[in-house]
Amino acid sequence: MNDMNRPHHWIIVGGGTAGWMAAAAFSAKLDPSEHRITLIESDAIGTVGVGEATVPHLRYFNQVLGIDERDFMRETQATYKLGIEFVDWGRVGDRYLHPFGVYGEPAHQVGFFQSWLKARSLGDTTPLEAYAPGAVMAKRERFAYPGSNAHPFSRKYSYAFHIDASRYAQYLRRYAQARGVVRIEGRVSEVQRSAVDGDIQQLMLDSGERLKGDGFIDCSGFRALLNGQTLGVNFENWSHWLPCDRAVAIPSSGQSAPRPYTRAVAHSAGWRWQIPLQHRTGNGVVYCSEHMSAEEATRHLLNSMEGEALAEPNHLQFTTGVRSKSWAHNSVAIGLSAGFLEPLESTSIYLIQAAIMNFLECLPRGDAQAVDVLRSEFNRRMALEYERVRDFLILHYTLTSRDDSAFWRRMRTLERPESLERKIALFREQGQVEHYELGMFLEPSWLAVYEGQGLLPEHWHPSADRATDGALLASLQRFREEVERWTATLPRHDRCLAQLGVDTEDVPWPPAAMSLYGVFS
Amino acid sequence: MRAVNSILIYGGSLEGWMAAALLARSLPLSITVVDTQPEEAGVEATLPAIAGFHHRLGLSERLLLDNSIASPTLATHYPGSDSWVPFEAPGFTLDGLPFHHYAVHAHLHGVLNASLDAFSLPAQAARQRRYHPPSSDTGSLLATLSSGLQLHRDRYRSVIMALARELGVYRRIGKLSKVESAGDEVVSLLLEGGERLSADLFLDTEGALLRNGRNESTERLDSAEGFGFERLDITQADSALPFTRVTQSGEGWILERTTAARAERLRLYADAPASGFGHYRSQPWIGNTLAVGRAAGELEAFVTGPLHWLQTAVVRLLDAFPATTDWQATRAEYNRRTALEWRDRQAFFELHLYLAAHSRPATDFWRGRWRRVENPELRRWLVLFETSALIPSRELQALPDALWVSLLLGHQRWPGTCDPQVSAREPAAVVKELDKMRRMIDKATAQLPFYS
Repeated sequence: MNDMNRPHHWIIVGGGTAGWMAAAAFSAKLDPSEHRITLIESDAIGTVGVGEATVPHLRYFNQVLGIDERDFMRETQATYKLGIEFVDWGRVGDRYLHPFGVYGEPAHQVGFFQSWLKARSLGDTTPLEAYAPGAVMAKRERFAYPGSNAHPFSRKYSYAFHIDASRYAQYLRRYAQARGVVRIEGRVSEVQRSAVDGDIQQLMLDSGERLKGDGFIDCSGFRALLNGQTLGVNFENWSHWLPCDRAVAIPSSGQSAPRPYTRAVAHSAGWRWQIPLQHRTGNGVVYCSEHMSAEEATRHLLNSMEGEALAEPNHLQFTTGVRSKSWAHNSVAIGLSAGFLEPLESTSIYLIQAAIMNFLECLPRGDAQAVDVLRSEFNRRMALEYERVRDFLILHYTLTSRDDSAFWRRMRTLERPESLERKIALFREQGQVEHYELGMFLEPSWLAVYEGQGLLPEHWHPSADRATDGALLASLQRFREEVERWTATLPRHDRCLAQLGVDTEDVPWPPAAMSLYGVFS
Repeated sequence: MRAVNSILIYGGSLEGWMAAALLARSLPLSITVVDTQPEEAGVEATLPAIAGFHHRLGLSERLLLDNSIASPTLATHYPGSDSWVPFEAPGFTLDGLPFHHYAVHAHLHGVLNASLDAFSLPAQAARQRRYHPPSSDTGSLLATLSSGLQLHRDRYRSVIMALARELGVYRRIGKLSKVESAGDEVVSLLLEGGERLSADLFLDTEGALLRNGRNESTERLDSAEGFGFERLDITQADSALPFTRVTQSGEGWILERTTAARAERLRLYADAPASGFGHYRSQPWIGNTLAVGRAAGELEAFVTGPLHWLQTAVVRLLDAFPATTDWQATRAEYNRRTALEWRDRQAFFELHLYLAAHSRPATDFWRGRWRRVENPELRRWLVLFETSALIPSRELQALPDALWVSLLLGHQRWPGTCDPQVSAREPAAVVKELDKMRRMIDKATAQLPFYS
């Protein structure tokens, strides 16, 4: 992979969201005189079209590519997304919002959550989300750019989008092709490896064409044609922790006023998503086949859907888990070929993006030893990303109090991974969220789920006792009332979407960051 | 389970009083220092993070600087390689890519016509012995003049002790006669005067309270074996220097620090009498007793002295301070994070063995010391950096990446390649950018007054 005398030829296998995101980023970031990029895809192979709901990091990806955000929104029929609403997770009838943003204001050198815990012990049972401007905006279906005005609340949230993922792939395809990426229509019929080092050398297409490459990007989805089928990289099965293994999806007609948040509603054997786009709503049921049949799942989906079905049910099968090494030999798995985690927290596109960005940093260079350490650095980073997302997903299940079905009884009593057990024990004990820097879900997200699903510690940080009870209760009340008042001054989400068509290009969209909580908070 | 209402800090060193002041400032609890009245002297160097500590305490650094208690340190000077290591990364990020990739690119093409520290305002200011408190105008380059402090130990302790006393910290003077314990729990301390003191949580800055005694429960870093400190001199300083110095010598290093009133030179060398150097506790918090400061681990980080580690330990404790003694998970987390920090400190110390072993002329002594380093992770990190200019991502950066980069490049450990997005650029164009940067930094440096 190191001969730099001729252009290094990258071959991307598969043209779904992952393939075109990789192609677009490579074409934007790599010198075309040194890197040649080919993408092979087949119209005959459908794409899963993962990640209709995204996280704010996607805005950073678009920013790096220099994509015009309003143009992107029009092209992908996007709506704004301020967070995810979880319904019926802790108990049937519960709901909470996990916003892209932070809660309250720290006081007395201690995080807001500690003051909130203290206030709760004094009888103020207002939920945490009343103190997150992003959550209140979502609930009231309002939207405005963060950081866009002088009010401090505008720096306490971030946003992402609901998008039509296949339109996004098409959008990036145009972007990548305009930058020299060559698209080949076809199917890979055979993969040839070097007898010396086992690296992949060339692909044979069903047309008979042979494609020689230096580096390969496996975006072939669940098939994992290169890293799984060809290189036989071990797949770590995580389905004992996350046993849902099927999904059925049906798009339905759009709502006149799409909500600025994703909805994830738990059912007796899994959960159901609702993703409002401009022109339609994405719906799907994720379920565990041991506890629910495909017919039941489809019926549940049809019965719970708002609007008219626009297509036949699309059935998917998957195994939750991760390939133990995303990068093996000269092939990097990106997207579903690298691993699958159910889209409960909209992480699919994020994980694609993280792989692309990490790979660009760790791009092979130097001698074989250098490539070895780059490869292991990349694999270490990605393994940690997947593991931390996994733990956060398990949290939603393991904290349930539901016992209305065999599935939930199983999830309640699940043996947790040690890395998660430790986090929960720490939180339960004194209300502390394990601190880490590498990984996308940080303290506010963990708080959202802990509190939303009813796990609260008995104790709070003693610094929260430094305020008098009266002053503490009054300051919290003032804060949440101000959040409500301020939110009411913001435009409605549907109005903001309508504005996209009208070119009011004078207001620039805010800068993006690799953070769930925004650049300002 | 009972509420944590009282903390007892054993040891009246500066470390003990710093812990007391910070805890008293933040927690509505009863805090007592058993002041063993240790004799202390010398000058301590800290990282810029000390500003966060002072901010929490509500202590004005201006006051410390103006009263000859502290002087700034903008960088660490390594005369052996004539490199200046600032606390923040040199240069500016260009197109989202760290600056050092551009420097490496220019170097690989033989067109980097300056040392790395020429791109750092603090390093340039240190070279020219200039200083001014950072500008509050965040748009100004002068706002980036970040510095740590060099602290006159006695005087600083007086300030911190007075502050702690003002914040309600009790002081008991005395030496320990006996630790009364039950299992892992310290029940009370019996002082020589006969006074018996108890508390819910004990902080031990001297390593005197932990049940098994210092040596049984500590581990020793193999690579630090034999090293120890010797104070060469403390002198009245004529003038303070706005930097510290680390000079590699035959079988060790000389560390120099100054404030306006004092200058200190320490020798860290390899055949020192047995000392605590290189010892650490893998479980600094056992039962209801926490070893902090030197009692938790003793090593050299060159760019900072031990006060920094006291500060991080107390902040770590404070940020997740338990309301009750139902603290098993809290304690495990504290110990886990301390171990991560120690791992980074260890790597940073061993990095200095590596640099010494690769300096010119390299001696058998240093080569031998580096061979003894058993740290596959560090070896992997070094290969990663020296082949690709990447610093490995790691969970807790006790010593920030910027220090690693400045040290390695300052010691001429140039990577063989840099980020491909940077190497794709025309070297001449990159040099033009770099020259522009340097001119800006030179101009800003010239605006700073000389430090005296």
